[in-house]
Amino acid sequence: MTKALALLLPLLVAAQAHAYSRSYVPTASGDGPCLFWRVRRIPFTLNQMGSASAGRSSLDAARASFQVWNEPSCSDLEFVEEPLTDSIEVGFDPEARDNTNLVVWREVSCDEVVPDGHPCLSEGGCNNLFGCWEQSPGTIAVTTTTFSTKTGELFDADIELNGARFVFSTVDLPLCNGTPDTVPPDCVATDIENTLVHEIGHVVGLDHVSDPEATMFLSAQFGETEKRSLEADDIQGLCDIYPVGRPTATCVNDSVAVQGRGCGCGSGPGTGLLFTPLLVLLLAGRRRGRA
Amino acid sequence: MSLRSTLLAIASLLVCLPAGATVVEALELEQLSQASELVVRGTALESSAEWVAGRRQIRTVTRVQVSDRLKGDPQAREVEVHTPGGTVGDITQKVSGSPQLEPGDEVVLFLKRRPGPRRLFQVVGMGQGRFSVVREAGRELVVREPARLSLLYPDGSVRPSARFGPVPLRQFVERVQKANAGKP
Repeated sequence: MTKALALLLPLLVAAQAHAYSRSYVPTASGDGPCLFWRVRRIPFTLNQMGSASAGRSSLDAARASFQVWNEPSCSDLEFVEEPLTDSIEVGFDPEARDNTNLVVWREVSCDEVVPDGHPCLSEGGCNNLFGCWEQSPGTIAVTTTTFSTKTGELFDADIELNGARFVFSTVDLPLCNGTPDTVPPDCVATDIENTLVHEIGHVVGLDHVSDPEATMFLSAQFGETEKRSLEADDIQGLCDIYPVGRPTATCVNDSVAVQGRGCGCGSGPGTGLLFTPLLVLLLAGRRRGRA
Repeated sequence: MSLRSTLLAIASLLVCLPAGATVVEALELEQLSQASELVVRGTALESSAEWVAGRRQIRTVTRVQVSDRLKGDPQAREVEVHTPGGTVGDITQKVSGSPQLEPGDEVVLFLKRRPGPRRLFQVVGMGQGRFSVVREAGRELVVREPARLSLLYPDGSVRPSARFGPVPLRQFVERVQKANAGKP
């Protein structure tokens, strides 16, 4: 048994070192099912105003960001753009048919535009009523995802970007001198594609990883544009969850049977094969304990 | 460590990470303290989540029983904390980077009053303003696990939020109070 464990450990460590991670349903015990889309064609729509600092080019940058996730041929997950919208509402209405996955810039803080005493100030939701930034002022972007508590199936994902505080840009050069809230938009400030390609990774159902080369790495430098494209781990995650012509890898039982490798959480290819003997060893230990 | 517990520890390396996506301005403990109206130590009692704003968004209100006040209203024995997102029935909504409070959590919270007639507070700096109180060898310690946050620093760099502590509670309280020395 000890020898088996010694053989297993390096393999496990190696598998984790270059791995993607999936997002999951948050629970008190922290181990809910992983998030996934049931459908392979995911509609998205852009608020027609785009970014005030980057202008119309912000819409093209947003489209390009979704397109990046459409490119890997090993997956048939596809983001499909719907017509521009004037909607400013993020979130999900369980009774509506028109839920859309929205990208919207908030160009003014709710503190500045919401009348004193308005109920939304205490209840929340001023962002949807007044089109303003309601989250912590020092936050660049937030993604609001809505999903099934039981299965992890995603119903809706919306991205809000904080134009009230940060300058967004689409240019390639030059790098800006200054801080992200003070620079002009004709240099690389908070790059839209760099920001959105990463955020869309969360829409797909991926979480941050430890590999600094990956788009889903939790770190960046001011003016960075490297995360405009996907790296190997990002593509691996996308294609393991949504493999072309094969069922989606979910964490619910039916899919485990199809995929034969558990939920795929935090795994690259083959990690499930490593996980299986781990469970066998655990079960063997339990049986021996009962004997 | 038994073989079984070793294997369980290895298995834990393979589980998923919680969802999150937010890049938020980094706040040191002193900055957090100065930006807060109320800093309390307490225990989360119960949470209730509901749909707001035309049923598109979920918010959660958690009652927190206050055992100690590090800053702000000395009368506060209980506070209600608003966090975006939550679970209503079979639907969960998550706003990336927002803090989570579960009943029974022992915490130190850095809070700011939300406007409006109801006395509701929100956590300052998203997940940065929520610390856990743990006990180890009879000592009370304050820790903050690395939230699923990227922190934006003044030079423009973005780095993962690191684990804070463990710091002895007494030392933590002194730092908070020192940051607010001479302020109401």
